[in-house]
Amino acid sequence: MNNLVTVSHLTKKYGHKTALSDLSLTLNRGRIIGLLGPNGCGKSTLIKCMNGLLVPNKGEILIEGSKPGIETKKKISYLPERSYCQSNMQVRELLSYFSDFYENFLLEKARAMLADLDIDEKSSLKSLSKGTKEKVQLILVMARDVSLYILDEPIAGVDPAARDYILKTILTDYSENASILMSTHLISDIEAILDDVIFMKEGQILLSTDTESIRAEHGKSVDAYFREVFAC
Amino acid sequence: MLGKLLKHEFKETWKLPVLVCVLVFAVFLATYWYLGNIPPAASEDEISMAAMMAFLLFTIAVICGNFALLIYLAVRFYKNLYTDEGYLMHTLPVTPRSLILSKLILSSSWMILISFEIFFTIFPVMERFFQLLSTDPQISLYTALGEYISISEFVLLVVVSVIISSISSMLTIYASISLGQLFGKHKVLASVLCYIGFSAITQIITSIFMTPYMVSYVITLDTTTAAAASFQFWEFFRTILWIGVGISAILAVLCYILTEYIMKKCLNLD
Repeated sequence: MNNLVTVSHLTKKYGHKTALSDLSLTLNRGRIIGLLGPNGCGKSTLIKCMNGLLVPNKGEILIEGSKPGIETKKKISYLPERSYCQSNMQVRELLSYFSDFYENFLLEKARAMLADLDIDEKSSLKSLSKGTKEKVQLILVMARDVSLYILDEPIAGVDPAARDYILKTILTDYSENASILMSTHLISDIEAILDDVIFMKEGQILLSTDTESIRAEHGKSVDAYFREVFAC
Repeated sequence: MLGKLLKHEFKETWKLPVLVCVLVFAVFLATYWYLGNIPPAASEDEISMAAMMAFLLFTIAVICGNFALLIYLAVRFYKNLYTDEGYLMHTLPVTPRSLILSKLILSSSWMILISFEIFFTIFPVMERFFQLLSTDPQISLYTALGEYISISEFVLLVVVSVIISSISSMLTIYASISLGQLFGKHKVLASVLCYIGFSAITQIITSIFMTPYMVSYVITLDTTTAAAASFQFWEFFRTILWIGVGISAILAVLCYILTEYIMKKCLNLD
C-alpha cells in the first residue's frame, strides 16, 4: 500500500470561521511534499489535525490506516512552528527525554548532527539564540526513524549556511519508505528537494501535483508559479 | 510510559515544592523557638502581643506557602499541557490518562506533603501559644482534644481528609483549566471563572448536605453543662468533616472524568 496518509472530507471551524473546508488529500510514501499557501489558508490547522493537537469538526484522517492516537504518534515526527521545549532544559536533557519516549529516536545520529552544527550538549535552551533553538528542535525531530516527518516552517529562523545543512540532512537521512510534509514560505530555498507540492487556499486544496508537472506544464519554477497563483 | 512521565515530571518540578517545604519548616522552628522564650501571661486578662504577632505571622507564612505551591502546580499543568509545551506533550506516544495521572500523582503528593507538614507543625506552635495565654501550666491542647475524640479517629480523619482534599483540589484546577481551553479567547480568565464556578457549586452542594445536620445540632443542643455542649459540638464537627470528605471525593471523580474527556475529545491547541 503506497498511501501513507488519507484525509477525507476534513472540516475544522474556529467559532464561525472555517479553517478547513471538506478537505480531502492523499500522501504517498517516499516523497518530500511541500505544503504551500498564503497565511491563514489552513496549513498549520491541517498539520495539527494530523498530529491530534486539534479535533476536527467533520471528516477523518488515517495515517497508515490508524486515526491520530498513540500508534500514529509513534510514526510521526513533528516539528511545530514554535518552540515546544522547556527553556530551562539542557540539550542533553532533551536527548534523554526523546530517548525515553521514542523508541525510534537515534541518539548517536542526534549527537552527530549537534556536533556538525557546533551545538554544545551542555547548553541550556534559554542560553541559545532563537535560530540555534530551532536547529536543536529540528535535530531532535529528524533524528527519529519514522514513516512521516511533518515540519511546520522548519528553516524560517535559521541562517543560510545552517539551512543548507538542514536541507542536505533532510534529503540524505530519511528512508525511502518515509515521507516528509513540509510547510514553508521559503519556496525557492526548498524547491530543489521537493517531489510534490500541495497548494492550499481558504481551507481547501487548490492543487496537488508533482513539481516536475508544474515545470513541464507551466514552464515555471514552483516559486514563480506560486507567486502567479497567489498574486495579490 | 507513566513511569517515564513521572520521572521527567519530578525532575522538572521538584525544586520549588522542596523550597516551600523547607521554608515552612524554617518558619515553624523560628516561631516555636520564639514562643518558647516569651514569659507566660501573668494574669488571665493579659495577652502577650509578641506571642499573638508570632502566631499570626506563622499562620500567614503557612497559608502563603500552601497557596504558592498550589499556584505553581496549576501554572505547571496549564503551561505544560495547553501552551507551546503542549505541542510536545500531546505528541508523545502516551494516553491523555497517563498525562493527567503523571501530573496528578506528583502534584497531589506535594500538596499532601505540605499539608501534613503544616498539620504537624501547627499543633506544637498552637500548644505553646495557648500555654502562653493560660495561667495554668498543665493545660494541654492534646489532652483537651483527646477528651472529645479518640486520637486514632482524629488521625484517620486528618489523613483521609488531607489526601482526598489534595487530590480533589488539584483535579478541580485541572478541570477548570481544561474547560477554559474550550473558549476561543481569554482562556486563562475563562479558567479562573470556571474555578470560581466549581468552588461555588461545591459550596452550595456541601451546604445542602450539611443543613439537616446543622438544624439537628441547633435543635438538640444540650447547654446544661459546658462539657455536654463541647461533646455535642465535636460530634457535629466530626460528621461535617466526613461529609466534606465524601463530597470532595465525588467532586474529584467528576473533575477527573471531565478533564480526560476534554483532553481526549476536544483538544484544541492554538
